Amino acid sequence: MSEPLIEVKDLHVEFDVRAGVVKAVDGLTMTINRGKTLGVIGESGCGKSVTARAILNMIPRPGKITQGEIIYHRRRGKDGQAGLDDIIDLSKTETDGKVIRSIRGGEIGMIFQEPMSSLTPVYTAGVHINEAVSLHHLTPVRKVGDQIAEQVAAHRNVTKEEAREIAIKMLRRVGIPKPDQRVDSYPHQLSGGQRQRVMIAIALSCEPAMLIADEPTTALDVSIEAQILDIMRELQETADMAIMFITHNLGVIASMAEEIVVMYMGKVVEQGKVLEIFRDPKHPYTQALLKSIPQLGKKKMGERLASISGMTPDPFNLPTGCVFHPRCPMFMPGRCDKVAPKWTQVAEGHYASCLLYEEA
Amino acid sequence: MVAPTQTKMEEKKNGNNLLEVKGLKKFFPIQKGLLKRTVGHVKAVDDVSFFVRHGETLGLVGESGCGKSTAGRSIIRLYEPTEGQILFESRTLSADGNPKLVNLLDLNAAEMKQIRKEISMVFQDPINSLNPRMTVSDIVAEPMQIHGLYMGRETEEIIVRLLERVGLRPDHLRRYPHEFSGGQRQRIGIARALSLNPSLVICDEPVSALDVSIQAQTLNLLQDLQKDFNLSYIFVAHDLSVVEHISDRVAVMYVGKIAEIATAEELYSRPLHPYTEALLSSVPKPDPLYQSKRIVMQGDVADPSNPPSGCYFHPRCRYAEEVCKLKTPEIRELRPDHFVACHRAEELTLEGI
Repeated sequence: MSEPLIEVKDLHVEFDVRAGVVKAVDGLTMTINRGKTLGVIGESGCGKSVTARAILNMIPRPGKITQGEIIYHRRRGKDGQAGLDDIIDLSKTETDGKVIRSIRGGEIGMIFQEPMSSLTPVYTAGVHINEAVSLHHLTPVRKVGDQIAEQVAAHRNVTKEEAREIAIKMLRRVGIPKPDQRVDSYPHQLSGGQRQRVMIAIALSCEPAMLIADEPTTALDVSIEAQILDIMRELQETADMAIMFITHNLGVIASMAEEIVVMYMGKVVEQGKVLEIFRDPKHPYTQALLKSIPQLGKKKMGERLASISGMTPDPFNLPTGCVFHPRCPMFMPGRCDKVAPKWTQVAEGHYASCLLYEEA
Repeated sequence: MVAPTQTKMEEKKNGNNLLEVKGLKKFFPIQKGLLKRTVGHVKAVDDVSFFVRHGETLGLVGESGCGKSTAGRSIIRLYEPTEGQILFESRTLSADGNPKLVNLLDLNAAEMKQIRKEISMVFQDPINSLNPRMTVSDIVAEPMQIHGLYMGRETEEIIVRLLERVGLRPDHLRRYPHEFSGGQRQRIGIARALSLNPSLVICDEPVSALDVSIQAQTLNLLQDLQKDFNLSYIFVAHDLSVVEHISDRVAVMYVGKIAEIATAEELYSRPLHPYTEALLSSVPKPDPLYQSKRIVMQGDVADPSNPPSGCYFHPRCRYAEEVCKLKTPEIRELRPDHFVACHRAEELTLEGI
């Protein structure tokens, strides 16, 4: 049966900035099981990336985990039994300590989104590339192979030659042609899709127990996207790796995840099996989200998309009661704006936080 | 071979075409060495022909680097095209008030400025395409000032109406772009594009940077505006489902060439080009039970500075034969209003959505 790998319990992350306190993650609870894929969907600013960073205990300042636990069931040795797990609360580890460093990148790998709109007009292209690449942990002046090898050497006890061999093997596995030559390429010599594949190779080179994929394919073309998803699926099968897949692309999530968590303004509003979420979404936000995407092959002339009215609320000034009520089509005056909804079971293994499903 | 195709295209033109692009080419030189000698060309757009009817939306899709944005920008000569004809039905350049067909590439700078009243653009990145030091009202008024149409108070009223039309409030007028969300910024960009009352709007990936719910709002807005102002759109995007939703007809581009053009419904349900088929099969469907029948395209997109021989798609095409390596396929009309550039289009049965 499913065996928990990471349990996030009542997590609160706050950013204390001059204008006030932003509750980026506000009481989030979820479980990621060994060898399974958990999809996290939501619009930008809903706290999905902050949650991912909280798991690795690398929230950028001034953000802080103010409450909650992140329990990591660390397996002892490669053939360890579940009963022999070490239990570590990642939120309590020292941010720069030895424990978290051995987990980060080693036991829990992470892939980031290709930076697309984070460019500052006052920098030259060169500075940008350096910055973008260092965000990717790829240093432009160093060979791709060296960077994979370094990652391996840092977490596994191997010689330089062995590390290089592993680097070549990983590049081949992620489908880069001529890996023995490509290992000596610099990042700029690679295309966007290839660079993302190198990122995946780095993240997977230490055979992590879990991979956090934060919008890994958003910046890529559909054909490359499909290849990358195939690689991730294949590696999950062979290495029994758990994936936390963060995206706002509902098509991608439908084909990748077993279970889905829907986030809105730092809270989980709905959780359930992928089929239930797509076939029978309960929360009005999930319903609206599913209706607002144009579906391929279902065109009707002059048809309009069902859009969610209004915008995401100001994080400094969240609505009272249910945070979604100002945009909700099912808004019940006098209730939704007063009472905060509780986490309610709506079906077997399917939860939502909405007053519609609470007994009055 | 060429002649019948040409006449077919000509016939179509006699309908009611607002814009007709013929044999458009845009090559960027690759320069090397101290003397900056040109050692080669990136064939970003290579012999592209299409037309846009009045009030319709033509979608332009393809993978990154296929030349779709370059094609869009070449139309208003943001990039100076290398070769070709861009015929546009202009209202401003005609003496008698009846629309007059002009070739944009023959126009001088002053005439081209007039044309820019009739063709405007909406850009992908709503952050970089708005000047951070200008207020919303300045941004929307700037095109009118440039064209000498600014009339003080009267124009202010037009701007207020325009902003209201795109869903912004009059009190937003004095604010700066950084005070807005991505979706609102894109609305400002749309208002600016419409300020001169154009007949054609070139939208270059207008919703790619937006969240799904905001994307839906923006697409709906573009559709409403199209009806109200009788606009034609060229909609450049890489998201196939968005393009299907908004477009009347869709053109698929691959390495600077058009692979296929058809009505959206026809193209998605009965594609004739193997590239379209493979592209459609790669799109992830928002349905967990969907069994993917994805067609794997081997290798990467061809290098536009050194494209393969014959059909550019042949190294990745699972139907490729000897002829595909040798001859470049001509674009031809196989079904009414359905053009394709593939040697084997007649014999193949391809699967759509």
